[in-house]
Amino acid sequence: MTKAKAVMNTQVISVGLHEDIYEAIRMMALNNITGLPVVDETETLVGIITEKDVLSLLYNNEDRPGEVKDFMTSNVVSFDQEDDLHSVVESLRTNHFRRVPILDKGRLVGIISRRDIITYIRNLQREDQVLKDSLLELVF
Amino acid sequence: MFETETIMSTDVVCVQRSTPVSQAVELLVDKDITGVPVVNENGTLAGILTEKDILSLLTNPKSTDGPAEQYMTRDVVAFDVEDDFIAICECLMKNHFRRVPILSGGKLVGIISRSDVIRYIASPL
Repeated sequence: MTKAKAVMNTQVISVGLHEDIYEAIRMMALNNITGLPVVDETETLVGIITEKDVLSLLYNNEDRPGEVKDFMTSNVVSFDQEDDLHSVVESLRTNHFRRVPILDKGRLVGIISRRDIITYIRNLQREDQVLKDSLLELVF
Repeated sequence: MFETETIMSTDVVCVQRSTPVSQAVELLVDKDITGVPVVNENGTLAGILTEKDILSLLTNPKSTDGPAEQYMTRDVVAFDVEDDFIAICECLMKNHFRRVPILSGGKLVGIISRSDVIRYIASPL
């Protein structure tokens, strides 16, 4: 069984509950990411803020400042780092969200996005090809 | 006035219906994109192949030689290059998909993703 921690990205960029919403948008744009886990003072996951959550700001980009907590999605699906990778994939395959935070005893330690899984599949394909090539070499 | 044409990405990577899905996986990773439009031979839109469509490969990694059309989403919401940008934003806000192909005369000419809109929001700051 492959565990979530084998594939998760530990370089996870998170944002504080009370951060200015525009700072969160800047963090997304600068780091080229589509969603940020939101944590409280103890690094405990309390929500996620995504591109979709902030699209409404396009209509009011002058006069509606606010904190991350005003825009975030609070009801977040997350997994423990010891969970089976296949349950993570099943969740990403059947739901609309494209990333899940990975926790260790409730604290944020990583993130797994659809992209991380796709890269993992690509690497499996390449290993498969290397194996086929070396078998061919053995045969011929 | 927001112009769809000036905001859309025109540098669109696309694949043919017959492109092997393994090649599409390489494209998504190498080009750092989350979905690729699938086009017919005449350049019209046939569907879109997204990360989500490809995730099923992990449960069955042996089936990686199938053509893109076997995995793609066929029922795609697309806009015309003359359509209002705000209508496109509303569509991206209300739906779960994160990009819409932009067509001109039925042919694929661009794509607008949520990221394109976010960059647009972030840029004047």
